[in-house]
Amino acid sequence: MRAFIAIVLREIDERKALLAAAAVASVLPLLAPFLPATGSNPASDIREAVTWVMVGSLVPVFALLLGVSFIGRDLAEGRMGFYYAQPLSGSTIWLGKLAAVIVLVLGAEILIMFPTALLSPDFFHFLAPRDVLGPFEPRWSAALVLWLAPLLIILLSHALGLIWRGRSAWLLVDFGGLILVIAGTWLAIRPFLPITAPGAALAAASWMVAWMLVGLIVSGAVQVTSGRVDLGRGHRVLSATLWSVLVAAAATVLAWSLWIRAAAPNDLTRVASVTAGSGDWIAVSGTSPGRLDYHPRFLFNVSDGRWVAIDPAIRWWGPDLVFSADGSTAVWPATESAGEWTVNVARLDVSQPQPRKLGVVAVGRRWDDLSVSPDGSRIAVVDGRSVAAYESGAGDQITAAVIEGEFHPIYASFWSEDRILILASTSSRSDTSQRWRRYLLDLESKTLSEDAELPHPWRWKDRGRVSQSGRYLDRIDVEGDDRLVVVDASTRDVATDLGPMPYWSRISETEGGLIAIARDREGDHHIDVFTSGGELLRQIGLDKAQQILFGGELKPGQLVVGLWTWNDEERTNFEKLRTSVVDLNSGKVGPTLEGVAPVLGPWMHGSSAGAWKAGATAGRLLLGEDGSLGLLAPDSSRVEQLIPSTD
Amino acid sequence: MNIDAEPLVVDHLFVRYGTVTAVDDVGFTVHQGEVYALLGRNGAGKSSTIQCLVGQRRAEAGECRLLGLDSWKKRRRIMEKVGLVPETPDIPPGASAVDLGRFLGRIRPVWSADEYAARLERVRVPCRLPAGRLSKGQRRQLALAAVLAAEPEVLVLDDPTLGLDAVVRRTLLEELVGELADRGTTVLVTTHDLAGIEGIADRVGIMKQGRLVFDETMDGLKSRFRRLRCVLDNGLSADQVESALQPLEPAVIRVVGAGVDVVIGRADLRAVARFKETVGITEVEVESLSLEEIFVALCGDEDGGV
Repeated sequence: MRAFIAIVLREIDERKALLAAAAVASVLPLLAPFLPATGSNPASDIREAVTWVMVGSLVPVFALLLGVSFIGRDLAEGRMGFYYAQPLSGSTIWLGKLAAVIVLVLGAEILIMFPTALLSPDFFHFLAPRDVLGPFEPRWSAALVLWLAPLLIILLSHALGLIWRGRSAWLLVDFGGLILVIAGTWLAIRPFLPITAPGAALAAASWMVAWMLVGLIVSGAVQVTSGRVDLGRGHRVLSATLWSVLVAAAATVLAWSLWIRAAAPNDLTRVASVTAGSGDWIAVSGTSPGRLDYHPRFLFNVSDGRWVAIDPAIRWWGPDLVFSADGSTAVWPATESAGEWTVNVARLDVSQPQPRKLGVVAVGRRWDDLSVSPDGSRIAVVDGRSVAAYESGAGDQITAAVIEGEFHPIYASFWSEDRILILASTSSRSDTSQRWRRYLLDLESKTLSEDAELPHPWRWKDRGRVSQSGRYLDRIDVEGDDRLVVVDASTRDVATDLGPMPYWSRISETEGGLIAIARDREGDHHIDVFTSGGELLRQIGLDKAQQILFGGELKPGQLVVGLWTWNDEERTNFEKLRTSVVDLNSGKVGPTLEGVAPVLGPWMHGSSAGAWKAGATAGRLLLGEDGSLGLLAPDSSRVEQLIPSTD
Repeated sequence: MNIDAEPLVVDHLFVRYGTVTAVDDVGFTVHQGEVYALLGRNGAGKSSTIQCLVGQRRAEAGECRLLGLDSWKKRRRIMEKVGLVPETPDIPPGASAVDLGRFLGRIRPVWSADEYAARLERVRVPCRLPAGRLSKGQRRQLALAAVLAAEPEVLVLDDPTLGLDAVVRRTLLEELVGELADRGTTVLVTTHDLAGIEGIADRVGIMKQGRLVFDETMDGLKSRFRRLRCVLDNGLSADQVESALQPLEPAVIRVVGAGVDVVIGRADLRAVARFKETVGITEVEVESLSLEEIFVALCGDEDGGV
């Protein structure tokens, strides 16, 4: 330690002129407010701005100059022998010289900032500004950049300076190593960008930066310890060490990236599913241990366990995949780059479904809306204010229409094979001023017609879907109270008021036309069952639960009902799940299965995914408290586990 | 020979720079308390040998040992007892003599601040002036003072008199040897000041084109080499004369008219007598040579074979 400190002091003393330069530079921000061109800006703002300019320009230059020279120039000018002629180990020489340079650069940085920071009303905010890297990054990231970047510049310029001074055939190794590291890192990170898994991308990048620091420090130490006064040998050992570390780090991060992307359904911890109205294929996604915010997603056949990996879900519950009502086709968006996404499709009525890109590229937001026709033959893509229909097989465009006016968001769903229902909203933020307009795009005549303006705000893409009875369900605001109503499609008058409709309440419309509404607030735990005409048929009492969940129909009129209770305020804890089969016709509640809840069904018939048929696989899917996915037996007596949780 | 017992051993040393061999199978030993002068023209490989010896450069092959330890592997331990004055003074340019003394006082196991100060005063080196602003001679004196204040057991001097004027050169060498003789320090010195080192060195090694061509005591070297002058008027050809000189191991043969001027490496009276007999002459002038004359004879013609 004594020798280390001696070297640090000696090196600082040798380069103390840099601190003097920093001290001079620190005065300039104090003088800046007195310059004539500063206008009426507050003096503190001017001082801080000039200080940042000084820090941003001088500190990297100091780091670069010292990094290039603190070993390299001494070697080139034959002065490294001075230390080697003393009883000092190579590592002590390296660490001592490096520490001195770090002290000098960071000391210069602090010196430049110090006078302004003293005068600034928010000293710590000035030292660690919150928004340097944008709101995504917390305050510590800015501080890390402020203090870590000079170290990185010092080490990088040392290595590059030494490689340049010792230039030899080993430059080819350096070049090859650089290519391997960049390529490996890019291949590892690219699949997570820009929004697929930013956390994983950041982790991979941080890993590489950390190992770059380690590699530069270790290779510098090896160069000093083993290269000593021999510049050529120093270059060789530095390059060999640096590239070994970095190539190994890049290979590791690439292997990690491949491992992340090679997940299987059984690797999922918290499973979420998207279901088709019929057929055996579902889409499952979820979290997976060690995979950070990468959410693997699969098309999964519940009858035989076949699965195929598709693009990961942006959110772990992965809601952006849609099935055709007949379950033959799955369609989902995938982000290609920032502001650009493609449409992917998989036919499921083949022995081994394969995902493929449809060749449709949309721009703007990550994705606006995507829908598939009931038989899977056509796809509707919303791209900004444009709605286009494509053949799902060849990707040929059928027609496209632009919704005039300031509408956003815009939703599209197939009413039938050749008609697309378009709902355009004026705003997604304010319920009070929001207006909804409904259009129909006819694919045969290729015409867009404005159908109606919906009077009530409710952000739901299937609003206004008219049933065969010429009515549709809607939520309206009656004197500040949200209520569920049956609306006459021809007159848009409220035909029947079905009672209060908080946004979290579940509704189910059975294949037979019954409407079930969950009442799960203020000590009232029951299901209201209405006829399709809006007549209250019966009330079915349930055990106490914070929320009542509706799955599908096990048999006609037999609804799979879940009861969810939780303890924490965030409702993130599956504290207790129970499931029973409720006969809507008789009001009978079946035996309770503990620890499971039904996968939520479409809130009413006629949604874009299509109604669940009674007895359909989708209606029998159950999520376990542990995140597993199971299938309720037709007699409701047991649960067959499909995907166990790895938690 | 037990190499672990010797303070300084160079054994089959090879140093290469790319395709150029700078040191080619060099080996010598310096015994306890000896002053060994390693001589050679510029580029002969002396400094490379010394860099390997003090553990600053890794040899391609061979081994260097100081105080019984491997120079490369045990450099830090070795340098606790070894002093080095390099060919080019490498003291940090911003360090004054005071700074240097403070630094070395912190890191050297043995440090005589009084001796350091006294020597600097004696050789009139300004103590507060940064090394970068000292003259070449002053920097060299400063380096020497720093090394001697650490009281090394082995001292390696790489051309310590380079750039010094004649008076300082002589004083430095004489003082040095006087001090070191008292301490029993082992010294390896390379120098171009052959006259200065002649009365000081116990043994001499001469390097030529990377190879050590002579390694023997100063007395032995000087007694072996003689200049031989004679006049040949009996019509012998140059080849016949050269052939007759072979037993005397001629280093340089110069023929001017009938006169022959030869530096021989085997000053054997009987061999000289046989030469006279062979070439049919009665008068031969035999002179002693200085170290410098011997060195010039050996190294003056780089292509000459010794």
